[in-house]
Amino acid sequence: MRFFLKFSLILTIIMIAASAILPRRYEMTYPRDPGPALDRQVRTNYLEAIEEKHPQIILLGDSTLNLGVDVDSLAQQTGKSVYSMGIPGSASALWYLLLKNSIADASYKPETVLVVFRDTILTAPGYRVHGSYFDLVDEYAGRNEPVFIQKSFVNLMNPLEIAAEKYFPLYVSRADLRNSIDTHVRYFAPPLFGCDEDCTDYALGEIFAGADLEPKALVDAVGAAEAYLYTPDQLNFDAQIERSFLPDMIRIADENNIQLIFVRIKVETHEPDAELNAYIASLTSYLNENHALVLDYGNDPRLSHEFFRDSIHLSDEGKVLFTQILANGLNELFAGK
Amino acid sequence: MAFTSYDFLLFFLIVLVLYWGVRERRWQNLILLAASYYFYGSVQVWYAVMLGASTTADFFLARGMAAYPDRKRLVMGLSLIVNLGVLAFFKYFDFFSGSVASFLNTLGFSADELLLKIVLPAGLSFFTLKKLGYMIDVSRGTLKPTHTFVDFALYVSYFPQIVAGPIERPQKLLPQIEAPRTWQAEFFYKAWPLLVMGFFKKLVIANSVQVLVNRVFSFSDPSGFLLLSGALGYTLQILADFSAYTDLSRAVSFLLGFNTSENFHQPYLSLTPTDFWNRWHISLSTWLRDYVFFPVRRMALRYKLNENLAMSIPPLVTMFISGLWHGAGLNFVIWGLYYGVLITAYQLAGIRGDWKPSSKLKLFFAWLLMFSFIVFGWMIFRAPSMTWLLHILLNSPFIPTHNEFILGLITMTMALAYSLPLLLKHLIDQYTNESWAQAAFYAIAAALIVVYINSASSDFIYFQF
Repeated sequence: MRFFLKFSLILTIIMIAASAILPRRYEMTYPRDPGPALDRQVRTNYLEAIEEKHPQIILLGDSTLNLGVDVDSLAQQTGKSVYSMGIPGSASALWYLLLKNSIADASYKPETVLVVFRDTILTAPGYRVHGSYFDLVDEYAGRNEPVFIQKSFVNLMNPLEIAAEKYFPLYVSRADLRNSIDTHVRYFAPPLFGCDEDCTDYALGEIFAGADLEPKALVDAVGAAEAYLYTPDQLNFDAQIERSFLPDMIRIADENNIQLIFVRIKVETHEPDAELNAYIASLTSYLNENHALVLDYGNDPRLSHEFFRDSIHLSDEGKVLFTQILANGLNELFAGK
Repeated sequence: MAFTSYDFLLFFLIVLVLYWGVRERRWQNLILLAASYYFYGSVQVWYAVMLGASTTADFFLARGMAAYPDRKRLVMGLSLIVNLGVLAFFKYFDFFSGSVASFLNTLGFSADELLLKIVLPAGLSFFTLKKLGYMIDVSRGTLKPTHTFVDFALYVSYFPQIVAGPIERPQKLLPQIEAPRTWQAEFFYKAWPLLVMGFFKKLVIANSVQVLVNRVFSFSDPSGFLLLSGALGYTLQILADFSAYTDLSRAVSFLLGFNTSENFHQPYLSLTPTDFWNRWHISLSTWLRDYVFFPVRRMALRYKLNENLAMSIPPLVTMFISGLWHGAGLNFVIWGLYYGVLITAYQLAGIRGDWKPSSKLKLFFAWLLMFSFIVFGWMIFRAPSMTWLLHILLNSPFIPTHNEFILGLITMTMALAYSLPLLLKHLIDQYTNESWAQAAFYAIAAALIVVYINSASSDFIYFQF
C-alpha cells in the first residue's frame, strides 16, 4: 500500500506540474471545447481557381479521382468546362470543407459538382482526419468549424475522451509532446554522421516518396487502411447518415443552386456482399430523395482487374476507359435533364 | 475487444462489479463464464459457438476416460483428432482455400464468398493447447477430471487468457476456479504495477517502434543494413507487445482474484537458445517441453538411437511444431527449425541451458552471440516471405544508400531509445524494492501512457496466432 501511495503522490505532482506548464506552453485555456484546435488560415487556391476559370463542372475526390478521370478528355466528351479538385488522401470531411469554403464561398457557382467516391466513404466522417491527414484538412478549414469538429471528432469520442479533452492538459497536448519526443529521437544520430535536420528530412522524404514497396506489403497496407470502411458500423447506413457530412453537403448545394452528382468508382479492396449492396441501395435512395444524382460504377464489369494499377487505383488504360464511361453517363444525365 | 480499448474498460468494470458483488463462488464462475463467452463471441458469434462445442466434447471425453480407463487411448485419440483437426483446418486453411474454391467453382458452386469469410478464430491456438494439456494429463492419470462443466468451461474460455495466453496449465488455474474467492486489497496492489507496465509497453514502446519497423519490412529491396535495423526494432517491438499483453492479462486476473503465470523472464539476457526458450513465452515452452519434447526424447531413448541423434531429434521436432503452431507460413516453420538447429548445436557443443561462463568477457560474448541469433530469428519471423528474405540476404548489398543509412540509423536510435525504459526498470528492480525510484518510474510511465494513448491503437501481435 505504501508503494502505491508513493506512486500516487509522484503521479499527482507530475499531473499538477503538467497542468500548470502545458496550457501556457501551448496557449490553451481550460476547460476547453473537445476536439483539435484549427488554425486561422483557410487555403484559397481552389476558390481563386474557380473565380478565374468559371468551370461548369467541378470534380471532388481523392487519388482515385486523379488516377481514374482524365479531366481534359471528360471536358471534351461532355462539351463542358471541367475543373478537378482531387486531393490525394482526402475523404468526406475535406470534401465537405471544400464545398463549403471553396466552392460555395466563390462568387461564381458551377452548375454541377461531381463527388467521386468509393463504397462507404461518404458516410465515414472520421476517415482520414487524424495524424498527418489532419494537417491537410486543416488547410481548408476555417478557425471555427463546429460541424466538422463535431462530426469528425467529438461524435467519435467516448465520454472519457471528451472529459480528458475538456479538463486534462496532458491529454490534449499529447500530439505535441509526442512529436517533440520523436523529433529528439529522429534528429539525434544523423548529425553524428554529418547529416543535419534538413538533410535528415530530405533523406526520409526521398526514401518514402520513391519507396519501392514489396507488392504484398502494399496490398496489406492499402487493405488495412481501407478495412475501416467495411466495418459493421460503417456499413450501417441508417446509423451513419445523420452523423455524416452528406446532409450538410446536400444543404449547401441546394442553397447555392448546385447540382450534386455522386459517382461511385470501382475498387478491388472488398468483394461486393449483401451488406455492402444493402448500404449502396440505401445511399442511392437517400441521395435520390434529396435531389442528388447517382452514377454507380462500383460493380461495372467493364472495369475488369487488368484496368487496375493496385486495389483502389485505375491504370492509365483504366483511366481512359473510366473517363469514357463517366462521360457517357453524364451525357445521358444532362440529356435527360 | 483489445485490453487497451474503451470498450474493454466498460466491459471489465461491469464484470468486476457483478463478480465481486455476488460473493458466492458458483455465481462468480457463472458470471466469468458468461463474460468470457461474450468477450470471445463479440468478434464473431460463431467463434463462441465453436468454443462451446469443442469444450463440451472435451469435458465429456475426459469424463469418459476416467469412467472407462481401458478405452483411454481411443478417447484420447478422438480428442487429439478433434482438437488438432480443428486447429489445422483453420490454421492452414489459407494454403488450400484457393484450390478448394476453384474446384467447387468448376462444379458449379459459388464458393468464393463463403471460403473468403473463413478466418482463423483469434485465440484458437491458445485454448486448443489448454484443452489438449488437460486431456493428456487426464489420460496420463496425473490429473483428475473436474466434475463441474462450468469450471472446466471457464478454465478453457477464461477471457483474460483466451486470445493470447498465457497457456495456463489446469493444475494451476482449475484449483483456483474451484476455490472460494473474496476480495482482498492485495489483489489491487499486485495488479496496478502490471497495468501500468502493460499499457506502457504496448502504447509507448511497441506502437511507436512498429511504425518504422513496418516501413522497413514493406520495402521490396532494402539493403542488409536497413533490414538489420528493422530486425532490431522488431526485436524490441515483439517483446514489448507480447509481454504487455501478458502483463495486462495477469493484472486483470489479479483483480479477479486469480494468480496466473508469468510468460517472460528477461529473454534477451539469455546466453543459450535453451535458456532463451526458458525465458520467452514460458507457458508455450513448458507446454511443448512436457507434451512434445519429453515424449519424443523418451521415444528416442526407447529405440536406442545413437547419442547424437537422440540429442538432436527432440529439439528439432519440438521447435518444428512450435513453428507450425505459430502459423502456416514457411517463415514460421523455418524459424522453428532454426531454433531446433541452434539448440541441438549448442547441446552437441556441450553447452547446456543453464551454462554460464566464468569470465565476464566470455559472458559478454556469449550474450552477444545469442542476442544476434535472436535478432536473426525475428528477421525470419517478421519477413513478409522467405523468398523476400533470401533475396535480400543473398543479393542485396549490406552497405546502404545514403537515404537508407539515415532511415536505418533512425530506426536503430528509436529501438535503442525505447528500450532504455525497460533497461532502466530492470536495473531499478534489481537494486531496489518498492523504493521512491521505482515509484517514480511507474509514475512517469503512467504520465507517458497519457501522452501516447491513441484510440486507434493496433492489435496485439500475438492475436494472429
